[in-house]
Amino acid sequence: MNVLFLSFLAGTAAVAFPIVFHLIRRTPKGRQEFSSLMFLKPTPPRLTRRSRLDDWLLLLLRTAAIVMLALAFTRPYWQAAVELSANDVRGRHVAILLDTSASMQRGELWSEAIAEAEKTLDELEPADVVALWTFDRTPERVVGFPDQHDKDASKPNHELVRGELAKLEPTWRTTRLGDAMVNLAEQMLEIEGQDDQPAALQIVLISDLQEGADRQALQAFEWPEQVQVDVRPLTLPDPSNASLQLLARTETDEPTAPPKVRVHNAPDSTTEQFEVRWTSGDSLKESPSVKFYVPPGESRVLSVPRDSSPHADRLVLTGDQADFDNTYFVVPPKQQHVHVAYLGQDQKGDPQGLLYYFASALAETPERRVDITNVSANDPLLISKDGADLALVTAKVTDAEQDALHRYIRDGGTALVVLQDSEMIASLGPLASDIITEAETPPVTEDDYRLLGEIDFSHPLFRPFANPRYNDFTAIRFWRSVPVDLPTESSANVIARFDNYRPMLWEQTVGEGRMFVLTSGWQPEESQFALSTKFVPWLEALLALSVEPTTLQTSSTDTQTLTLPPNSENATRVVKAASGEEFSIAVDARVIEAAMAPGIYQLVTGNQSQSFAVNVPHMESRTAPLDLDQLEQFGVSLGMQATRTEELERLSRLQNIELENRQKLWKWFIVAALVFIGLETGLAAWRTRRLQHSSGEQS
Amino acid sequence: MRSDPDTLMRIKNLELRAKAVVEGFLTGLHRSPYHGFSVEFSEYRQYSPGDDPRYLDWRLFARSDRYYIKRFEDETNLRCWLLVDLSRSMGFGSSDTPNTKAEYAKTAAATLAYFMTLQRDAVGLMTFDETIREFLPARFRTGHMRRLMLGLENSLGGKNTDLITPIEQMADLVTKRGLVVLISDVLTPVEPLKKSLSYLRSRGHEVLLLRVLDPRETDFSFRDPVMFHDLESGREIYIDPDAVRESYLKNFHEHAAELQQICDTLGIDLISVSTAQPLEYVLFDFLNMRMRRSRSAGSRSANLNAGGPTT
Repeated sequence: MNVLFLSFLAGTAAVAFPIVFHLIRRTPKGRQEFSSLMFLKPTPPRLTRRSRLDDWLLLLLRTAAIVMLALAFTRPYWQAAVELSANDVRGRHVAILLDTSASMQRGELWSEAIAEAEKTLDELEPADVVALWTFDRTPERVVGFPDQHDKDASKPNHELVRGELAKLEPTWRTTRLGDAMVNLAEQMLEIEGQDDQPAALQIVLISDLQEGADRQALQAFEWPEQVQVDVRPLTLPDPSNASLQLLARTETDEPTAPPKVRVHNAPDSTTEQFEVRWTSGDSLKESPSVKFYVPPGESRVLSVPRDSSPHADRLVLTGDQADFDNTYFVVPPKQQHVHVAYLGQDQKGDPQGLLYYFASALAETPERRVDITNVSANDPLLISKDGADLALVTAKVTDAEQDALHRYIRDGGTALVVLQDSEMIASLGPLASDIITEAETPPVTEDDYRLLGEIDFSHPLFRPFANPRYNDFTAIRFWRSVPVDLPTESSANVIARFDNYRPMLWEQTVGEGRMFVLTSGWQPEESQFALSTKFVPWLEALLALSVEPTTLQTSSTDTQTLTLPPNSENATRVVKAASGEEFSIAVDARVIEAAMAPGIYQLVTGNQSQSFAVNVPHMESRTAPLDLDQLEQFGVSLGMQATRTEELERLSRLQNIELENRQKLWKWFIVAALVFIGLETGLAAWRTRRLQHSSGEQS
Repeated sequence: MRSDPDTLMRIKNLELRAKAVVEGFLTGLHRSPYHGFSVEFSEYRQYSPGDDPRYLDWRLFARSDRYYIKRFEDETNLRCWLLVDLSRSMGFGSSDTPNTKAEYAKTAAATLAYFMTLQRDAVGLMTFDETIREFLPARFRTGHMRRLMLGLENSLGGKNTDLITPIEQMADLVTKRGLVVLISDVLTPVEPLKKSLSYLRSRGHEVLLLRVLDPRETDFSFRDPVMFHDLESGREIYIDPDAVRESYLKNFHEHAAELQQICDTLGIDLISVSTAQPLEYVLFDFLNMRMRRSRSAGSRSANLNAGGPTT
């Protein structure tokens, strides 16, 4: 016979009570008067031999009743012959999820992580199967679970995982904890779904769990109950970490103002004093540093002038413990020369002409200088793809000029044609073959004007005005325009139309280049366009379309994604690191991942090269440890699945409980206890009656 | 003929009881080896300068022409005070004896008073518990004996024992020196008693302590464990006699030895009597004690130059 709750057997100790009560002599009823108690002390109640012998039968009955009760509580049962074997219980599916993000580059974190992963492997039972996953921006399966249906592969893969662990290295990518966990949980559920017999699913998350880890994916995911997560957080003895970031120049900044740097100190930092200086890789000369006092958990923005080192390509922060995010690379600014070939008669200083406003709007900035060259009919060769980035046509062109222009555009150039009259249309020849000239009476009065009726804000030229705050063009009046129309079958893309539905601006693709045609001038004589606030951004957008930038900027929302300029010629492109290492890029790639080691890289397309800086993502620098409660708030069930031994024990216990429930032996013990209590009561009553009877006879 | 204490105590009248004791004692006295004893003892001593000339025996001087000091001639009568403790603890009497300690003490006091009166000594009485209940000055006159007996009989049991205050009050009340017989069970702490007894002794009184105890108090021969009830304080405790007998007897004897030592130090005669004992023994012990004291006093006074009554 076995019992379910052996601890209740301790209840049999209660038999001591009746025994002690039997042995303790009752307080005597007699009273003895005595002269003085000064020589006496009270006697404690004591056991006597006599009382033990008195009621041994009663005592026996009471003891038996208590023992029966205690036995009933232990829930006894007859053990059936069925025994559980080890094969009845499946081992666990343990997925080790290892953080390889940039923040793991700190201190000894990586070696700790590997040690923790190996410890996890050591703790596993032979029956457990294990998979190894890493995650940073994306989760990656290093070693998967062995296929259950494949007999050979079902043997433990612990050694395989151990071997793969040694090959792993931390990357410079951001941490997308949520994505990784959701992905892994789904994969595990899928594996579980394939099996006939469900196994315990366990994720062992080994990470520094920095605050900057992205957990959004968990928010929208209902965490499956059966997947348990055991978090092994890694910590550094001194978690002090500060990061720096160069802030983009805003419109309100003075053009000559020194660059601003934001230093953020982690909430668990122990230091508050930092220094930031400009420096460059090749020069050992260090510029004067700027002292930052940043209390833990706060940010400070200060100007760090680069006057003394204009060619410095990096900002270096000193004063904290973690070096991985202490260098911020910046492509050194370089003034870009934009060549504009001008075909027209306007003088630069003539405020009635178009050129005056064009040149004034594109004044020189530290980033860009616009050189406008008057191209005369004598040297049309000046208009070439190499010599000019943009061609501006404001007057009737000669045939030679028209040929040159045509060739220029076909080769990939960009031209802006401002129509002045219908003759000019004719001079453009095939470039303006689509245009239908219409007769229209010129406006007589000041009030007779046109407004822009329809604008395609999705076009790059008008995209800067897409925001409703800036898209009001009703203040710009057009008094004169060349009355033209475009046939519906025309390949031209009309970007803006007047309120009379006549086209105001269209784009026409010719060969590899394109031509923009404006039917109205911007000079005050024809319209208010040049005097409006829209003119300069519009021209800037036009320049941006026609000139390829020398530097590339990563996306502002995701600093590890770089949008590549279109590769129309299908040229071979490579990314070159400062160290000389080269990465090739697929010909048709539009976007590359800029998650290499921080530094300045060159994108080489043919004989052109563009620089871009790669930095540690800002979120990776937020290294304060994440509170595990936050994971629980997302519904993640934290904890360890039972091992096979524990599970076996649990199952056998369940089986026993079931057996006991079926047999219900406890009822018989209760019955026995009741019988004993009844006997005891009867016996006691009989004795009392006999005593009374005998005392009655005596009296 | 010696009277049995049980039969004696059945005599309800205290005076009769006293008479029976004394007469029994006197008849037995003739056979006693201590015959010739008398309280009226006197001696002559040669006068030495410094003696009080009042005590010179002029008749002897007339006969012998020598100066002799005559002693005790004017001290023919003894002044005796009987201090009877009637506190509640004295009300204890075990089933072995028919009378309580208080009864026994009263009879003993009456006997002594009767005996003294027969000797024409003045007898006074004081009964007390925690205060003085009855007080009769020491007199020798007709009817005094009767008043004394009445006083004894009328005294009822009081409450707690307080041997200190009544004794001190007694010492203040009685200025003339005499014999003080304290009849009590002395079941009180001895240390304060020592102070009051020494006070009494310092007033020049001769003190005799007659300690009356029940046989159960001396041997603690109870058998069954019962609740013991303190007669004085009313406290009740559970006592298993078998378990505590040893410690009780030890404490009791220590207390008795302490009391004896105090009495020895102060020169007080201590007679312990059991209520099971015949009263004649009390009388006998009393006289025996008196005789020894007279002898020692006589021999002491013979060695002393200074005279003075040393009853």
